[in-house]
Amino acid sequence: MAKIKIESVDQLPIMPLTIEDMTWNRTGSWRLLTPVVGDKIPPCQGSCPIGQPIPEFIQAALEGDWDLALSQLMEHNPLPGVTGRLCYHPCQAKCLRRKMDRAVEIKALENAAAERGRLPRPVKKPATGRRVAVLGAGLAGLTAAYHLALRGCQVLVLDPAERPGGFLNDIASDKLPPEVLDREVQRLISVAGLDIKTCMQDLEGGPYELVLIDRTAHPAGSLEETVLKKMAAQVLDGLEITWESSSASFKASQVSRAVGLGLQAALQAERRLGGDELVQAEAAQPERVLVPAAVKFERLPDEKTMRLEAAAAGEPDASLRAEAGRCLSCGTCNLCQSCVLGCPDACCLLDEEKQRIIIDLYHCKGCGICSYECPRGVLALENV
Amino acid sequence: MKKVIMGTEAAALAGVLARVQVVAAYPITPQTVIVEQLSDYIGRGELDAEFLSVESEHSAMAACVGASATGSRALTATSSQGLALMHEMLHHAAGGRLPIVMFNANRALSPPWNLYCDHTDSLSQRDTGWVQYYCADAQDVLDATLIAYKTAEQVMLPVMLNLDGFYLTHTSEIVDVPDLSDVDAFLPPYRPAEMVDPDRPSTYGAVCGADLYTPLKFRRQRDMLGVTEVWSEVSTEFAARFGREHPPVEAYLSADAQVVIIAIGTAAGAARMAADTLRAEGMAVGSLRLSLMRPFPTATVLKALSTAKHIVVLDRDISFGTEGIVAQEVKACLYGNSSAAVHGLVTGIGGVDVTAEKLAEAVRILTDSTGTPRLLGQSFWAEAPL
Repeated sequence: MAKIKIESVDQLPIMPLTIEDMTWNRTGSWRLLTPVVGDKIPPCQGSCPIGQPIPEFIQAALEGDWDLALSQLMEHNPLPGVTGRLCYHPCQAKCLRRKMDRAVEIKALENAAAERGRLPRPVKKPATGRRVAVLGAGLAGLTAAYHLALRGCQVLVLDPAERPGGFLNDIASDKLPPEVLDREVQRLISVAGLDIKTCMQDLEGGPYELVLIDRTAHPAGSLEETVLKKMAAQVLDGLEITWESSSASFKASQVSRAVGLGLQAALQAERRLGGDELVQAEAAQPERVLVPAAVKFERLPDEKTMRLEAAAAGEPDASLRAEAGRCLSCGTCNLCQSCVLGCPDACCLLDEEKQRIIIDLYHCKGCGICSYECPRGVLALENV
Repeated sequence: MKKVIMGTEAAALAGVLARVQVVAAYPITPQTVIVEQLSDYIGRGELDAEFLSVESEHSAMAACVGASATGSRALTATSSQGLALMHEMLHHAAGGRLPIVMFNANRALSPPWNLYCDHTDSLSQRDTGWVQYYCADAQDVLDATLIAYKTAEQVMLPVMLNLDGFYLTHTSEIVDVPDLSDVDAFLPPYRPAEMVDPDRPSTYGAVCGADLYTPLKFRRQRDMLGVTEVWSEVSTEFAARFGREHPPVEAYLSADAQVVIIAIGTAAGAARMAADTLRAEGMAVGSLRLSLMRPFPTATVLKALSTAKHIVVLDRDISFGTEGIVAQEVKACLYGNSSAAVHGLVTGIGGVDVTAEKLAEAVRILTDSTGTPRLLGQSFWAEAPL
């Protein structure tokens, strides 16, 4: 800072402006909390019991690639048409778009992906020759079988009932039409290459390296459950899938929880079988998608939410894609520069070369406006 | 074009004619019509401006400060409690040398709650460094707004235009609305020599040591004292162009007056009528309307009062513990310059009408000492306390 000599008041600026800039004053020393730019798990995905990659599948929907959208869902969730209809969608409750207008209709988009996707291609590992049996073709059992099959196991699913799906067969047809359930289960079977045997009274086809028992497949005290118990009695070592709390019973809205249980059981089984590829795969950071700058920021009227049936059938692609375009792709910085605009001290800066946001910590006072303004929850205040 | 409009409508229309660029305001009776109409003008695309709906008057002024500091012509309007809430930011606007123009609809301060005319709201902000102008009628509102922007942008100080609540804000009058092209010729776009500019980083309103603080305050006082002259010049230019004068002081029959009634705002009309009445009775009575209260137009007032023996100062306000504020101002102006008796007259507060008859009667009581003056402190209260 150069010393400026003022001879008369008229040499001073009229407005109380500094004559030079004030960067010599390193106000960063006042800071208690520090804004940190870092990718996060999107709040929708974090609240999903199945951990579905919601921004990614919505990005595929935005591009109209319903096969890709379905594939991305089916990396985690073998029955998106079921969860799309029945789940209460905690993801939407956590949607950061709510701060601006209303949540993205994730439910409708998930259902649309299930309806419109034709050729799902989730990653399938080569066969390992390991043989696994799953007793009970409920949501959790089918999910566990599906994931183990995708990881190269040879899986046989046995159920005493006539149809696979367990309690899903008891759900009112207006909530889950039987043909939809059939299609979803058939797709699960064909994608994973499962062997399913229904009307089974006994455990057959052994020996198995591991037997998984789905205790959640049928209502407590039902005939099917009794048969399953009898079959399970023959198993020396196995894994059981049960509701976390003994009093818990199945509710249609809890489908995602059941799928999540199945996914966890598959992970556990994978560890038990000695393979750690699955665990590694889960630990690896998913490759995040940048939503292009075309995301619509304008506030929308609080209109009636998109009807599920419409999303499934008559809804033109354009309106679904418009809805997909509302997704902010939270957790990933897409250089929208809301922080740059919001920072009162010009400390949030766009690094043009590296295409990222940097914080001038010499001058950032830690006010947190950047974090508040960040529509994607990428900028967070941390005690560093 | 002539229109029949209310004072508030004239104010909003003046904002359009002045091509304001930012309006930040919070509604409050009796000002609300001003911001409602401005938002309508902006909504219909008749005024190219940003309308900021803010959460309080404090924020309204803060937004105007930011807008003005970045080189925009900013406007707001408020009243009474809203003006009181703005207090801190009023200092900011004046100290920041920002030529913001604000309408204040004069309204009583609570408690007790009262929506009607009272000048205590604006007069209790007289030390914030704002130029204060008290409008007399709807035409004055419209014209003074244009003069105010031109003056403000020349002296780099904010201007508060005061409208008597309801008497002016909600009374319809004939107003001659000038053509936009004529106004454009009179009031060019705001192009400040200095402003907050990202291309030339600097800090606005930063800390300042004692070495510079006093010189800056001194210069502000010097510039503020010069406003009376600048306003007169701009007002003369306006008169040449539009044929209507809006001087800092409006004198009526004062040249030979023994008694002068001084008023601000709409009551100046009643004062002129009272002067006529008393002239007819043989008393040499004149009146003065103080349009500018800040800066106080001392020289003009002294000149107009040179023959006065009795000066009756009308106050629609009271400074508790002393007397009416306008009376104090007049006394301070006269000190050492005149031996006239100054009679403070507190009247018309909280919605009481100030009539010519009432003023004439007060003048009779106060000037010949045959009546029974009802004094409270140093002021005569025209409306008897119970």
